[in-house]
Amino acid sequence: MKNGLISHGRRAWNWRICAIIAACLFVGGVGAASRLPWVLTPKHAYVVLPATTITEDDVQAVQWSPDGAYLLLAAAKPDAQIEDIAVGVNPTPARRGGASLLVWDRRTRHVRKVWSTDDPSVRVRQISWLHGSTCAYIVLNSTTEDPYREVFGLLALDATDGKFSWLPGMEQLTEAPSVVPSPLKPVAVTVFLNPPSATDPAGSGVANYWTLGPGGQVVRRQRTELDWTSRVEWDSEGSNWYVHVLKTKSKPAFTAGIAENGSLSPITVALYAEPTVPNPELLLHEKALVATQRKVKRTFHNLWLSSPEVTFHPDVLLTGDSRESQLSPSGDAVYYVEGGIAKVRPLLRLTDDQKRDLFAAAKKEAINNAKQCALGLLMYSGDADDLLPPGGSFGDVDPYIKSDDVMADFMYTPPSELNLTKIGNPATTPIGYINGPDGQAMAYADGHVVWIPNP
Amino acid sequence: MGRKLNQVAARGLTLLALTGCLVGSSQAVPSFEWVQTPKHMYMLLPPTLITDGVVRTVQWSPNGAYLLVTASASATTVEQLLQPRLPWTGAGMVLVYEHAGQHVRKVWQANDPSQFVANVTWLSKSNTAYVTVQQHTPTNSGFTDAYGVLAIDAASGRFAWVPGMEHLPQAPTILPSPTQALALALFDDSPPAPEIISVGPTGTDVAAVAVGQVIPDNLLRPMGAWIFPGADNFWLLGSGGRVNHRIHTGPAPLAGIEWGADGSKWYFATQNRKTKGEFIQQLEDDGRLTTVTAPLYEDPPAPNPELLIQTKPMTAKQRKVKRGFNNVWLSSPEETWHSDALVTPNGLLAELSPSERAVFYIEGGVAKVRAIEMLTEEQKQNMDKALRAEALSDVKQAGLALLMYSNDMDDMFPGAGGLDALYPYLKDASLLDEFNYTPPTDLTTTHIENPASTQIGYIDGPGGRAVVYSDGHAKWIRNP
Repeated sequence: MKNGLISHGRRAWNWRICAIIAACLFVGGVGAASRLPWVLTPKHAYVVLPATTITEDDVQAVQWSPDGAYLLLAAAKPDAQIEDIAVGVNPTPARRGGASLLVWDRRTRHVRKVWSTDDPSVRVRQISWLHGSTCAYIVLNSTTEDPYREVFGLLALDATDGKFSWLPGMEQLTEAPSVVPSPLKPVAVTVFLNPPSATDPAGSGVANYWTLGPGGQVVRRQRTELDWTSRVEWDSEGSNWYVHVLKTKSKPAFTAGIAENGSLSPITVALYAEPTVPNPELLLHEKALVATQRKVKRTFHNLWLSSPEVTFHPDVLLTGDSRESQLSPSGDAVYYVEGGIAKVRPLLRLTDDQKRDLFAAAKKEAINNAKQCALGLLMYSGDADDLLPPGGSFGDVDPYIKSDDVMADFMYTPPSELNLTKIGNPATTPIGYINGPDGQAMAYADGHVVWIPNP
Repeated sequence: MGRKLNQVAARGLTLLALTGCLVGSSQAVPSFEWVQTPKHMYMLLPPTLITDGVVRTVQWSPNGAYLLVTASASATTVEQLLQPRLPWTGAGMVLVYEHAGQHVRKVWQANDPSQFVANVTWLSKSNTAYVTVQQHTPTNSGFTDAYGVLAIDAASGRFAWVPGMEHLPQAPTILPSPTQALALALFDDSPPAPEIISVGPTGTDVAAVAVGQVIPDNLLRPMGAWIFPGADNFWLLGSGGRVNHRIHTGPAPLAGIEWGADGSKWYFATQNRKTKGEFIQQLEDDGRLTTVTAPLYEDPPAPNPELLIQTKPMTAKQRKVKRGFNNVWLSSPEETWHSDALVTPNGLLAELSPSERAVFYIEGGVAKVRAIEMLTEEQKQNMDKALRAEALSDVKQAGLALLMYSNDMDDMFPGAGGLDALYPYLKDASLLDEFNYTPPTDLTTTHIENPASTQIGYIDGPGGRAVVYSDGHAKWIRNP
């Protein structure tokens, strides 16, 4: 008689569970934002938008514009030698050679190819953005075989319209130019060497210092005798640059301007120093993990976007496998390379209304998931002589729960008495919880879930 | 890892006397991965991007020459993204990846977001795939659906609507022959009116049932591919969208569809639950069913695969947040010295092609294919040589790092599992992934009596292992 009652009771349970699960499946209202990954800092909530694929080519250089509005990438078709090895005499020429410049626009979230070449010897050496402008200078080089010759050029690019121009007088350099942008103003200086003259091949040579404005115009051309121990420094305003000659055995360090006659005239000036960076609201963290299968091990990196301060949801997984990740200077987009493909993911800071919706959805989801976990535990006990799994074995409930994501955040707190029939008051015996916004969804041994706000 | 393996690749390259500049330090080069099976060495080539749209179906052609992927355009505006998700995100498209050239072609694109691909069927021994397109249009009272069938020629990338199947009120079922370039298309071209018909030998054994109705507990059960009753058109499709034969009849019996032994004819088939006796019927042109005796097609025993895909769940964890993801491995079922290659640390829906020459997967929302190349005997020998040299060089570096560590640590080697302590001593710590540390029982180096013959670790390589000794010298030792 008693057995009959129990089994009847259990069947009733199962029907009830089915009904509740069915209800859970059809609950529509979980807010859209919560389906996108998100992270919470003490101040704001950020939603991570889906990734934009930028290129499957090899990325040679990548640089955010200082305001974070654009991402400029130089990419080249991968060299085919891995395929050469595998395919032997039958390489796949379609994937060979050629470099391109790509611009991703934060506002439109689109990628545009602004420049490309079929010449497989072309490589992008350096990308420098002008501060406070949409202009970038790009150092490129190409090589010719037989006779071997390396040629450098400087390209000015406007990210807004994708227009580019070669810098006149710098198309055929034999030495690599370098570009040093001002840290504060839309101006830069490029330094390049004159080829050693035929008459004086052993001469110390001449260094050209050209001041560049936005849009590829040369503001000023200066030159001085080459000194290998010098470098360019900007003043504290970022408006003028100086030649800073490093200390040698024979003379102390000094800062100088270039006089009309090309000689260095020492000057005393406050040089620009990097300000101390305020604490970032978000930061990226690449966490190394090892994939192991029999004898083979491979290291890879999970990419997390994290709030340095702990909140109830301080981390979001951007990808399981990332390299070369970079947060944009404005902190509202992330660049990374995943499985050989360069991607960028914009972050959206939610408005107060959106944040409220997100929290409501997250709370609902926490309650929902806690309920499913509780029911999973009850179903498990139904098949295990009324016993709940011991602590640390919550994973055993997996077969009773539809999706692992539901279980991911559930903190299982097994009661001291694991036998459900022996728990005196199941409705007040907690068996686990899920942390949600400003509270937790607490599950009880009778399967009901209550939202308990944080004190 | 990528960089180190590129060095291996580079060595293999010189050995193969192939020209081309080295990858150097370019960042985006995917890892060079390989699998050694008992018979052959296979290399995983870099991925080819298929699409970053939302993938709906993925089907390899039976011979593995083509992969047909159907996808929907992903949402583009922030508003769309933040809206409650609709069941269909965007206009459907059909993409074909050709294994021979490793390139992708878009062969069909829907006109509007209400159209998407519901189903894909490849024909055997043919480049034709049949694609069912669904049009899901909102009406005043909900939604209305219509279906059309496209024939796609994967080789040319051309498509054509199958004549007579451009606009169907209900979803057709398309069943390919297992061996011939034929498929049976069955569909109902009128709104369904479920009725019970009797076609069994006794007139009562078999009953057609409406969808959702419980199957009556009778002795006959359908064999083979199950069809929903109601279909009244039975068309035999050939390759390229040709309709070889049309039969229009009453609603189908509650029977399965089986192909004959040679794959050229199809039958209604049921089996008696108790006697296991088969009951096979052929549909005549006039709609009659005649009972026939015909041998049915049986799958030949599957050959043992040489390669297979394994998906291994992992958990990413950071403070309070946990997320699951999957490592995808390409593996030799039989263990060798290097029987696994990591296709991707973070993959979904991985599927090996039937020819075992490519693997499809989705990584971070992007659908990709990595081709798998079998090395020739000569290439394999060159690779083996390069891998042995790499193992020797790596094991030597690891040994030196151990010695340097012990120098700094009062002549003590790290304990077993303490290899992380070597990071500061190594330029490329990823070589520790391969290194098997076998610490001597006495960790104090000065207590080791014969350092030149005391093994402190090894790296497995082809046909043997590279062993390093506690005096820092390394040696290749062949497997016995």
